[in-house]
This record gives sequence, structure tokens and C-alpha cells, in this order.
Amino acid sequence: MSLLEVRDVIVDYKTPGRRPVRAVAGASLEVGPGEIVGLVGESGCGKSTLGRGIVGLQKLTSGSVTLNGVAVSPVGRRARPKADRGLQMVFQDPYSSLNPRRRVWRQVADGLAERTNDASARAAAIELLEAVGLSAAIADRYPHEFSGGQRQRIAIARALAPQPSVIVADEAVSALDASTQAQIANLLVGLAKERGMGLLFISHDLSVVRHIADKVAVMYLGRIVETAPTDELWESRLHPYTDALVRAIPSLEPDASAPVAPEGEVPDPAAPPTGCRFHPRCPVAMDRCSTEDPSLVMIDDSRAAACWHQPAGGPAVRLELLATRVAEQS
Amino acid sequence: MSLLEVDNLSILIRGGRNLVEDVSITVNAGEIVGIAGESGSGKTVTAMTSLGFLPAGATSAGEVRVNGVDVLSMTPKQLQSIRGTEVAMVFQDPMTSLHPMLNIGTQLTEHLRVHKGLGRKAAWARAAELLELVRIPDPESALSAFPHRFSGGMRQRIAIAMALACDPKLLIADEITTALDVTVQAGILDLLDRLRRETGMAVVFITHDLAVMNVIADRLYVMYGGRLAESGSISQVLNSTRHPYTRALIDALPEGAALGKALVPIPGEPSTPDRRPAGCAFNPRCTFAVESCRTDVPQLRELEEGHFAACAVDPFGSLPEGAVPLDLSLAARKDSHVAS
Repeated sequence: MSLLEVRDVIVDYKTPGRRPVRAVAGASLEVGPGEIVGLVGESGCGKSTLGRGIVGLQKLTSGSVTLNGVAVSPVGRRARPKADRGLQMVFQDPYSSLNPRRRVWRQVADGLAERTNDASARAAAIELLEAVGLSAAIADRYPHEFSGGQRQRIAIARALAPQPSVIVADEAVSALDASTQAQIANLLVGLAKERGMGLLFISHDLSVVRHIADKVAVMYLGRIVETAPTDELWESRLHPYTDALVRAIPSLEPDASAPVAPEGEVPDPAAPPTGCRFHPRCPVAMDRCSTEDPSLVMIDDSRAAACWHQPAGGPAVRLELLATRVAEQS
Repeated sequence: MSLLEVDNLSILIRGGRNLVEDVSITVNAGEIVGIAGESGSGKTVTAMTSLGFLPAGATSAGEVRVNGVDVLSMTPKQLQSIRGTEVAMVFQDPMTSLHPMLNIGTQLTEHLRVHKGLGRKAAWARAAELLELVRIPDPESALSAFPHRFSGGMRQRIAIAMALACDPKLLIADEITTALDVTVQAGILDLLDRLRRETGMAVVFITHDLAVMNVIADRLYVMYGGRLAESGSISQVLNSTRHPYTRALIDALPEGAALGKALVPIPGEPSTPDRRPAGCAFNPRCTFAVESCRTDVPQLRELEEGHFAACAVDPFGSLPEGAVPLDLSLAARKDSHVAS
């Protein structure tokens, strides 16, 4: 059994007088111990909403999230159930996620599972700050005295305090300079592997995800359209959207070909297309795609896709073959 | 004569600190020239001078010539005549360059009416053409819509259309794709490439993302601590890198590092104008630094035709007699990691 199990999660945003926007339209994923799962997709695809839904910051319209088999309850006014403390989150902007008026050790100590007195809490907080690469000497400083990368380290130390079994990191390295990004990404990978902690790494930056994730889930307009082990995904894609996403990444290789932009624009999530949500932009769409919505099915042992071209249970069809097949039919 | 010639430009701010020191850059018509560097390296300040903008209270030395005329000694009236028509600029965040409470048409036609003296109707028609040029679907109805109606990528394309309104010869693009998704970024890069081919417009493309540079720029200037570290054609700088800073920047990128290995961050903190070390600004973070790097500022030297680097050590270039040069190309490095 996986550590974190997300089943058929749906999240609607309701505005009075308007149609509800279905930001997440049925998403399932799993994160195992020590496993790093990258959740990627364009802005507006619902990946952050899903992340917030998983930790309980956003109420689910339907579906379930379980950690170690125990259902995670939404964050409310009361103290969280003990079991839910195993799930922690790191946010994109360390400038707004830390309280500017409190010393950093106190903010880290907030999350400690057991708290007896200030002295022991301070010692435990310092231990955590050291675990994320900061020195004990900075414990009494305030957030404004740190750079963006250092602040993100403090936010990570705070997330580690309750000894979580899974951390959800939402664009945790996106706001940082290239070099700092590398430091924080390395830190998260190290912590996940050392502590056997699951990491759900939400990012729009596929290059970083390719580097650190064991498994990738690709989201488009509220749906997970493909999941695969990272190296296999870069080898070949099963869903046309994933392929479009990967081909848009600029490369550092000499004489790299220009990145290719997919056709059209991302549709309004309040009025998603019928059938497969990608079909208006899909180069290999068939008649069926505009009427029937494919669900995410296992194609082989390790890969899943939501595409009518890919039969459940395999064998997987290569996208190049699809293009020629569609050309022949029309 | 080149379209833009920045000649030994230095920019001093109060307190005797240098934002930019002794920077020279040339841009020819139809060329896409990249300026890369971390935040605080001086890349934006340098590019802004081509529009005659200096930071408040700053003084400058050197010349910045657009079409042979020094913009730094122009009167405000002369400057107004080149802004928008000779040189135009697009910024990172399209929401700050578009007025949220005016419709797109009003904002686009303003330039056309002021600079080109077009009438209301003619300006509106030209504005629709501009939106079509940047591939905004249904340009006529887009003109009467407000900025919030558009996605980030469309807003950025509208901001580009606005910059293109008076057919500038040079476009300064400051981190214009940094905040966008890769799919949208690919569309913008394609648009810029098409524009320079079709109109001969030159582009100064500013970003810290070297992978984007690799696919868009013809030539690249790498800045560190307010000075040029390295410059040359895109393949010279990225594939036969000579400056340790450029090398470190490439290695820190997920695209540059070998798969299955940890990313390699640059040690230490970036140099900022109020924290410039003596000698070579990069020396505290440089693995190749020798004693003289801490005292002497290295000068740009031409290492091969068109390829310049400012490094006294030149660790990837100078080899003892008979030594075999290290193959530092991306492909070779990836293979060697796999083997080890």
C-alpha cells in the first residue's frame, strides 16, 4: 500500500452567480515512502488546487485522500488530528509563508510533535535548521535577514518539524535563481531519500522535475492524463499532450531544434471541451475523442494514460505511429 | 555601423558604487543578441540605456549609440523621438505594461496616433493588424476587450504588439518569457524569430535561462557583477565555454547537469552592487581562482575570432605543450558521467 493515496478527487470553485469552475475533475495518484512524484502541467491546469486539496487546505467536492490508510481531514479552526500532521506543505513564496515578526526558531518549533519547554524546543528547532543546511547561529534572526533560498530552507525545516511522512512542495523552487534552485532541489531530494519521506513535487518546470522525480504525473485542465516513471516518460510519451509539453522545452544541446508550441490556447476551465479535454488541440484526435471522455487506465506495469489511442492493458502505441495512422484515415 | 553600439559603458550611482563597468555590446540589424546573468548582474540596466534610461541619480561614462547617435547626450525631446520608433521595450510582467482599466484598442492606438499621426479609424485598423501579427484570435473583438480577459501568454503577445506599433528597429525583451509556461514560451520565441526574419528587427533578449538563449539567440553576452564575463556566438559561449562563471551557470541548470546526478549549485552568493569583491567579481565563488584574481580586474581578451572572455586563468583554454584538451561539450560530459 502506498503512503499517500489520492482517489478520484474533484474540486469545484463556486462563485455566486456564476457556473462553478471544476479546477480538479477527478484525479488519482499515489506517493510511496522515499518516492518523489512530480506533478506537472501548465498554469491553470489545477495542479496547485490538487496539492492544496491533498493537504486539506482546500475542501474536496468529492473523492478521498488517505495517509497511511487514514483519511486526511480538511484544515479547520480546530487543531488537526495527530495523524494528519504527517502531511506537510512547502509553498512557492517563502516571503509570504513565514511570519516576518517572529524569530525563525520559534516558527520552526511551532510544528514540533512534542513540546515541553522553550529550551528543548529551541534545541530541536536548531537541529532541524542544521538539517536543512543553516547554522545554529541564525536561529534568533527574523525572516527579512535571509535571502530567498535561505528562507525556503527555513520553510522546509518548519515542514520537517512534525516528522512528516509526506511533503507536498508547490512550486517550491520556481521563484529562485538557477543556482539557488539547484541547492533547494538537491536538499529536498536528499531529505526524501534519507528520511524515507514521500515528496509530491508540484512544478511547471519540467527540466527540474526530470532531474529529481522518480515518477511524473502530467495534468491538463483538471485531469491527470499520463503517469510514468520519469526516465520512461522522456524516452517516449503515450499521451499527445505530454508529448506537446515535452517538445516545447528549450534544450541546451548544440544545434538544438526550436521548441514547438502546441496548437491553440488552453480552454477556459469553466467551460471545458466535451469528450477528451485535449481534443481541440490534439494533432491525432479522432471522432470519438470529441464525444467520449477517456479515463486514466494502466497501459502496462508502470505507465498509465487517458487517451483513446492507448488501450487499457497495452500494448502501448507509439505516438509517431499514431500520426501516420490518423493521416491515413483522413 | 551597427544598430546599437554600447561603448565602454559605466554607470555610477551615489556612494561611488558601479552598477555597470566598462561594458561594450554591439547589435546588428536582424540579429537576436542575448544578455545573460543572475539578478543584480547589470543586464537590465545596460539594456535600458539604449532607450536613454538611467537609474535615478546615476551618472554614466562611455557612449550608447543607436544608429550612430549617442542617446546618453540626447535632450528629452530627442529621446521621445526614438523611444517606440527606433527602440521599444517589453517587460517580464505584461500586467504592469497594460493598463487594467483601458481596453486593448485604446492602449494600442495611443502610440499610433501620437507617433504616427494616424486618425482614429486608421489607428484602430492598424491595431487589429498588429494583433493579427502576434496571432491573437479574432483581433477585432480583442481590441474592445480588457486585459484581464486574456491569459498570461496572450497578454505578453499584446504587450509585444504594443511595442511593435511604431515599427521599432530594435526590441529590448527583458525576461519576457520567464513567467510563462514552456508551451506559451515556445510560441513567443517563434514569434520573435519570425518578426526578425520578416521585418529585419533586431532583438536584445535578456534572460538568465541559457536553454532559451540556446534556441533563440545568435550571439550571447554573459554578465557578472556589472561586467562582461564572456561573449561570442551562441555556440562559442555555450559549447566551448571559456569563463568559469559561464561554465558554473550551465552546470547549475537542470538541462546542463547529467541525469541521475545531483544538480551542481554555484557556491556562495551572487555579487550585488553593494557587495563587489576586489579583483575579479567572481573570485570568491570560483574554483579556479588564483592570487591575482583577488586583486586585479581581468580584461576581456579575444580568445578566438569573435569569442571574448575576461578570465586571467582561462582554465578551459590554456594548456601546457602536448596536452590533450578536455572535451567539455555537453554530449561528452554526459557520456563520461554515464561511464563513471
